Amino acid sequence: MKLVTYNVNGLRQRVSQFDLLLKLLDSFDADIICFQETKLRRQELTADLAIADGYESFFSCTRTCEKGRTGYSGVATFCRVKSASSSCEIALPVAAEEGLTGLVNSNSRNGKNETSTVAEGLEEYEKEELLRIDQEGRCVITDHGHFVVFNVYGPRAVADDTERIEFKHKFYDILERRWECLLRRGRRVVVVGDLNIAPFAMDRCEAGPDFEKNEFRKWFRSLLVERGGSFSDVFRSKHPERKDAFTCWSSSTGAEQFNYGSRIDHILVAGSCLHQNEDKQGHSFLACHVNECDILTEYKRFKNENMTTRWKGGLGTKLKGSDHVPVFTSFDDLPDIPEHNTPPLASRYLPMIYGFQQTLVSVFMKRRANEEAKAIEVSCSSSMQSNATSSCGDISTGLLRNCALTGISPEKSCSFERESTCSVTEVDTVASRGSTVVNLSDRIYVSSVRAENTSRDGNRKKARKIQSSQLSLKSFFTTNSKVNIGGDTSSSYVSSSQSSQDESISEPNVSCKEDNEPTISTQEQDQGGSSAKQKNNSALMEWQRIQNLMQSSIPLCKGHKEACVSRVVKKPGPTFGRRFYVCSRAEGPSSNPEANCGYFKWASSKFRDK
Amino acid sequence: MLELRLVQGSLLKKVLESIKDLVNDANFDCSSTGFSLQAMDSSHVALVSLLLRSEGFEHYRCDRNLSMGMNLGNMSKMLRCAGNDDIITIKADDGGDTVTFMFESPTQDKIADFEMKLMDIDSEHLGIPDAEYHSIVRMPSNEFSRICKDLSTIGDTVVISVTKEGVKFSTAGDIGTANIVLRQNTTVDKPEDAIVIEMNEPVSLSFALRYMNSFTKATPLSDTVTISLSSELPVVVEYKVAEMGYIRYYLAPKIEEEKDTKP
Repeated sequence: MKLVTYNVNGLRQRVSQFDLLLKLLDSFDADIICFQETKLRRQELTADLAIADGYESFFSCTRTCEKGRTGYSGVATFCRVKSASSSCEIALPVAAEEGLTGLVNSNSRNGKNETSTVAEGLEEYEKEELLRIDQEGRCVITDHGHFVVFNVYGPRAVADDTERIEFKHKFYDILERRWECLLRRGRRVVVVGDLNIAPFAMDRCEAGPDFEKNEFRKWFRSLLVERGGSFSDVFRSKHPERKDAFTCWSSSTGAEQFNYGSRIDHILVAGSCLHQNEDKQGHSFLACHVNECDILTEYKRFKNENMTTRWKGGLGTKLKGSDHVPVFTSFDDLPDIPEHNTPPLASRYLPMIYGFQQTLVSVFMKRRANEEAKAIEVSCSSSMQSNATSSCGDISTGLLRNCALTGISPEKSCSFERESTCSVTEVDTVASRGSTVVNLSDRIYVSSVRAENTSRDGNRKKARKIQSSQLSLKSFFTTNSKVNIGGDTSSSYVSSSQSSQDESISEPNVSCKEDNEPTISTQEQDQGGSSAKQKNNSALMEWQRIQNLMQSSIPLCKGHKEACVSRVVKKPGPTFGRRFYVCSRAEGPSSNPEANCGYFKWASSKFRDK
Repeated sequence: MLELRLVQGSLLKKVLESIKDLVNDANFDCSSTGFSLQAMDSSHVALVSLLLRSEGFEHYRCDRNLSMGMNLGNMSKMLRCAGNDDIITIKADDGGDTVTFMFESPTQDKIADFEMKLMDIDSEHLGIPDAEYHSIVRMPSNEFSRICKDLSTIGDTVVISVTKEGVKFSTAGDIGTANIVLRQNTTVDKPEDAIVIEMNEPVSLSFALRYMNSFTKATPLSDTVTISLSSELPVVVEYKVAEMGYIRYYLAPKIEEEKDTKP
């Protein structure tokens, strides 16, 4: 049983880095994967970001637009399961809950949760207050039988932002109350995620003397068993002495290059072990079931082998990945739990995914089934259409089977790609007719949803394969003029480049000017007699002088005598908008002379005094 | 005392939009011949040179040479408050610490005064030399803008090669390569649509698309752009400002770096 926590810093970006969500998830080879900072809005939860074959997912997205915070924070938990129904797997949650207060309900379509109740232990809070704290999509709770996993993205608050500090306080207070309630009832609690707290001085590069006095760090430490609390910091328990073990590096200062980071992504466990007969001395969930825990440094963006790509003040460096790295732990000796189904919070039941966001294949399936229906001449009575909406899950199972029998006709799958945006209404009717087919001709349907998933994926792959060999359908595509306007203009550029080019000329000439180095004295000059040549030579000399001047007017930093980078003050205040120069190197420990030397100089421009 | 009245105020608005992203703050130099600016971008790689000749102003009074340091972002904020048809007047006192922009609506029923704080900016005036260029390309400015934008989605460097065949813009990136060739074309209905290539010697130079793209911010100023290339000199990208002057961008070519060997 492996559990991973990863602040992905944008799920969409990580998915595109790995091409597919499935590849991203598989790269961890874990049973429970907790992502923070998905940065997705609810309406952006599409199948490619939420649904992966063999995983159940549970999302929480920010619901507030305060301060322009849309597509901000957000957490998601992915569980690797063999079957989403009637399963005994621990990874498949028994229950799942969005948010930390019990008031947020993402699937209101279930109807029964109209009046959501405040979670136990939070009664003394105002409901509005709780809702406000819970609007930012910072928590998903999944109950795995043996333990309850809190996937948490802790708020970040800078020292002088009292409103945010207050928010952070309440957030953790609410969480702590919930944990206490669960622990009182004898449950085991696993808290994972980016908590934005580095508990000890050794968890931060060059921590100052007052580092551990911070109220949140104190609070974090008070949770730990050693300090009288209930939780154990799994990483620290396994590696009590390890220094420089960080999980997050500031990307704006290039801090990864010199491992100048902090350890703020944690896995905390609390509760007893499953052993029953023995006395409890020396037994705990940590001691008996937690096998190992480590930081997955291979997800670091800055690899030492590409040391040549120096950070250079962030110019021209495009590091791929998140500014965090994942942390994993593994549990063993946990027996299966009673048979259960995936909870209603699962993304597979999201209206965005199941309701109106349909996959290409499923749309096609419905059309296919519809044709089947005609073929076998089943008369559709209008009264049966009402079944369509209620029995959605059953339909597609049947439809998929129908399709598997007949195979996919490529024309159809393509036509639906083009039409998919406008065909929603059409699809509805098709679907409703399709349902009657299932009901009439397919009395014995398979209830395993897992089976449905595999067949769907198989078909999707098939459909894709067919599409890629779809060149002969060109005529079909050209009828759709709207799509082709952009394509035509750009392709005309490219095709015109077919004209022959003089090889010797298209080779790049060695030019004498260089962006970075002021030394251009090695320049070779033609001795020409004509006046034009002379004029050019003098222009050349003049430009060399100008360029030297341009370069030398950038200050050199004290530590390395290298050209600085210029920045502009972004913080409101009397110096707002002023330009200054700083050392271009990445931030690192002050003991390392290779790292940023801290050089600072104002650019020589300021407002005239009155 | 300085008082410059520009009837076509939108020109000044467009000028600011075309340099404010490249340059933070700069000195505007006023003399009896015109209103000019010369500034480097913050990384000191590119140069901008602006000239608005005095004849282009309806009224031009400049008692003695004056250099006014302005934050271009702030100046742009103020000029955005002027309507596109407004008449803009720039006023300043010798040795004062502010400059005033006055916007008059064409019907004279609305007059707005914006006063902006001036800055002290150290900058050395660089005498930019005249030069003969190996190749000069004149083309529609929106075409150039489009090319730079398109290529920057693929790579970060554009190679501009001029041969007797035409001018080729090419780039390469992780996803592939792109080549765009334009041929000389003077048989067009509108003269501004012409592509004119004067080639004395073939050239091929590489430039950072990041800068090229910020140069094309000047596209609204002029229908045509002139690109002058020499193998040993910085490229000049020039946009005319109506009949009254120009905005010129200078950029040193990139030296071909050895390709990074991917790990």
